[in-house]
Amino acid sequence: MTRDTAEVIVIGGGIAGLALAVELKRRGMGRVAVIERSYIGSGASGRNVGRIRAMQLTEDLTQYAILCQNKYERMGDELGFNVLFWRAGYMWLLYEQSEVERMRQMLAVHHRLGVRSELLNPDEVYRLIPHLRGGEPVLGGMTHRRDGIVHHDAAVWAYYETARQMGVEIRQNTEVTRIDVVGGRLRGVALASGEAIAAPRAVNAAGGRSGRIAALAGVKIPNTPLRREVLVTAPVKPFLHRAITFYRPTEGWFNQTLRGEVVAGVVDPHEPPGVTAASSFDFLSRTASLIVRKMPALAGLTVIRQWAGMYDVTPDHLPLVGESNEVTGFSQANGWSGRGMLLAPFTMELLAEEMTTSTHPTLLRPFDANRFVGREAADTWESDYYRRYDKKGDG
Amino acid sequence: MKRLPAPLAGSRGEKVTFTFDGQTLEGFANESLAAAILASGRAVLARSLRFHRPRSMFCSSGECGWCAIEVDGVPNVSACTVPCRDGLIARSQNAWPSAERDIFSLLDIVSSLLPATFYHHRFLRPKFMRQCYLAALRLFTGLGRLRAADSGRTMPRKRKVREEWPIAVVGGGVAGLSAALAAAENSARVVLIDDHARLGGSWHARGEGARVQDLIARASEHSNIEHWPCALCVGFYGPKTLGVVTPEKLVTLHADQIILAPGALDAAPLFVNNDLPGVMSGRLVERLIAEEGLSPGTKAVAWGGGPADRIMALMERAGIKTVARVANDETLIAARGRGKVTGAVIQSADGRRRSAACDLIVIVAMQPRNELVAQAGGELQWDDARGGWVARRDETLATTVTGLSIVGEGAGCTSAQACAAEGRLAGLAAARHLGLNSNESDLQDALQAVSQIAPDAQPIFSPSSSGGAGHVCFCEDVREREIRSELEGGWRDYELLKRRTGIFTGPCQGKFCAANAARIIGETGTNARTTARPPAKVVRLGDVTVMESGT
Repeated sequence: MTRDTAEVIVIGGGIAGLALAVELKRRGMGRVAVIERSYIGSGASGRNVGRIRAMQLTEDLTQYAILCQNKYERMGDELGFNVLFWRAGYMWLLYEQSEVERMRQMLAVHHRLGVRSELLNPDEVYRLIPHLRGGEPVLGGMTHRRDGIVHHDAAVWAYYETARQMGVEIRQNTEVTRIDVVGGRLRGVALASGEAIAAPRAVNAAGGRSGRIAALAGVKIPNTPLRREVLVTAPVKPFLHRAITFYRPTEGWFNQTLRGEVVAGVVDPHEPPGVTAASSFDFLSRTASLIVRKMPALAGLTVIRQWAGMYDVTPDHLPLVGESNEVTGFSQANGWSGRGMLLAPFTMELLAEEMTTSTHPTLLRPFDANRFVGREAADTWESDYYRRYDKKGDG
Repeated sequence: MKRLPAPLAGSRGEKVTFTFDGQTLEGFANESLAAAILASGRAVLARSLRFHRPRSMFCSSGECGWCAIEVDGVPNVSACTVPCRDGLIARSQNAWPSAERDIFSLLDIVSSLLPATFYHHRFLRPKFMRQCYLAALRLFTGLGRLRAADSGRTMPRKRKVREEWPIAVVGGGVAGLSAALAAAENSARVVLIDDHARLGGSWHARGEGARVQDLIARASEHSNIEHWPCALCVGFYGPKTLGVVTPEKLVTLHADQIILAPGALDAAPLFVNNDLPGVMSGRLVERLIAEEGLSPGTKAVAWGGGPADRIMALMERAGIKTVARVANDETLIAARGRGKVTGAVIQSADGRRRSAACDLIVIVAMQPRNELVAQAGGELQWDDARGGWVARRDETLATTVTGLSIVGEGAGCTSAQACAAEGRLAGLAAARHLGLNSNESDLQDALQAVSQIAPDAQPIFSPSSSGGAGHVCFCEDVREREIRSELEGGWRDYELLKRRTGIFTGPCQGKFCAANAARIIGETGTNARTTARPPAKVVRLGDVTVMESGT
């Protein structure tokens, strides 16, 4: 039955929204309602490729990513559901000497934090991944054996199943059309179905549509939706263990899934911001050209589908998590900047802690939802992957 | 499968030798690789993805995935699309020791214990074993083997271009040729995009040789028509924009008027063992007999509408006896046999059953082809009589998408006459949209001709006749019972059902499962469809690499 009041309304039924609902319930929260405009996981949570990487380009991010990865290790026990967290290993392919130097510096940082990354010479790379032979010559590879891939849909279903068992009300196929704010306090939301739910608190976990949701409450957030595209091939027998990423000449990646398909994408550095999930012909040829140049054997694989999803990008590529100063009771859990699958489950544990105990976990401090107040129009996207980190001066 | 003295239409090509699984076999240049292998006395060509079910050939368009094998080092190639040639090296996939005797077929015995969701609450204990479970699971995945590229192989890299055309016609069968000619004769410039080297589509093998030869001759001579052979229209990428892959270039093609004439897909009804070697579409049987000179059986059971008479007559000329025909008030509920068809079970409306011993089950039914209309966001309607989802069209055959019409078998027509009439109307209407002098009475005549087309009666496929064991999805081995169990679990959303069971996610991307899935889900009152995405045709990564790669 429809309840017309709740303690917390979570807007968005993706990995963040569902994980938050579960973590809130686990901490004794009363009525929690999740509102999903389409079906659960229909946004970025169902469109990503589930790479869970601890090996990052900055010290802070690496430290936090380790904790997030551990959450996936625990997830099977916590939810009693196998999310197929597979430690396939990760490999950055390096094509320029400057990249090798950069990674050499990162090696020390990783090792200090306990991430056993390894910098490989070309011979070692080709021995590990023979299919790269005949492709554009690599100068090296940075690899981390314990990084992994998760089945993104399974993670969404695991949280969904648990949330339902805990009594969370999950409404699919209805959109939030209005957020009621009276005297700077959140009062509730109205839905496209015509219903209204009164609640003292709401959390905006709407991914690429977070900006629109925040605007309904009169709150400005600096997030920019940015389309990312993916293609998938017909399945073949296991031939590639590690998840490959490269940043030269442009950012791209590919890996073989547990099911045997190869998923791949090459980023368009000139992708215009906007809410869209359309597929493009340019993406198909751009991706094919570049990944075949790296690994010629891939040329023989059949493309069976291409699709798109949205990154919700903030100026510093870190999420917005926590209550907004402008509206009491209205919190953000968005701006994942392409790392929602990795960051959200653990981060929602922290947010639930904050919401139920009114303590402020130190780990959430860099994600303060109000850190951009007054400069929401900040420049968001740097198409060169390395420069995104150089600009911050801590790469 | 046995060779006839000669193909009934056309001629035997040169003799060639090739190898399959290390054995040297003989074939002829007019034969497909799949047919030549079957003609060597084998019944099984390949094994299915999950349960290693035996498969041979089913559809006539290279899309069902039954005959996927490795050809010259390239995995997952539909052997029915490869012409036999000297020195070709073919291997079976996903089977050990061979496709005929595959030890992993034992998995099929326990298939009911292994739904696609089998791992959800399993393989978590003991904790230290988790990664080992995944490693073991992984051994069972995938079809073919991707071999490391030999250093000598060079990759063709194509030019990427953008082209503007007044009219684009996709498909060069009777409907497409008629559309192109009607437009061209009214001074419109037309690009005619067709998958194959030879125009005419499947009509050559279907007793329409004369009609189609005439259309081809007229189209080839017409200076307003530019024919792109071996060109794949892979997607609808934005308003009035198609993505076309030709052997030389990748074309972002913008056309003011787009006429789709994609032909039909073979329908795949649900019954027990509907994936058994020996179950074939009528059009495949027709092609094998008429063009490849092979006889796919000796005793056949036929099921289907109007064209079944023609196909039965052709089979008789090839020495295949039709031992039973499924009547209008009957349903074929099961194929019998292990490894190949040995019989069929037919049930009448009052529940009485009869069996027939046979080695061939011929399904004569079509389903509309709607991938490109769906990608464009055009409205589709469920139409049982036409075999599935068909595009909603106005009286000039335009879809609900601006500048996009669909004609012929892809829209549910069956006869050549109907396809010609539809093509002509769409061609005239497109010319008029461009403001070209179209004779009003021509258009009125064309409208009149189309309005008189009566749909051929197709068999109505009931999803409940398989008792749950029929294959809804061939690519991922998903049976009807698996879908029903998810529906009972409350997973009614088409998108979630897809992700949980695997239907729509295999190489055919729902071409063969969408209609059956819609029938089953339709019983629960849901009428949704899953998002259509490119590519609509089989393309390999190597087919879409461009010269100025990088950015």
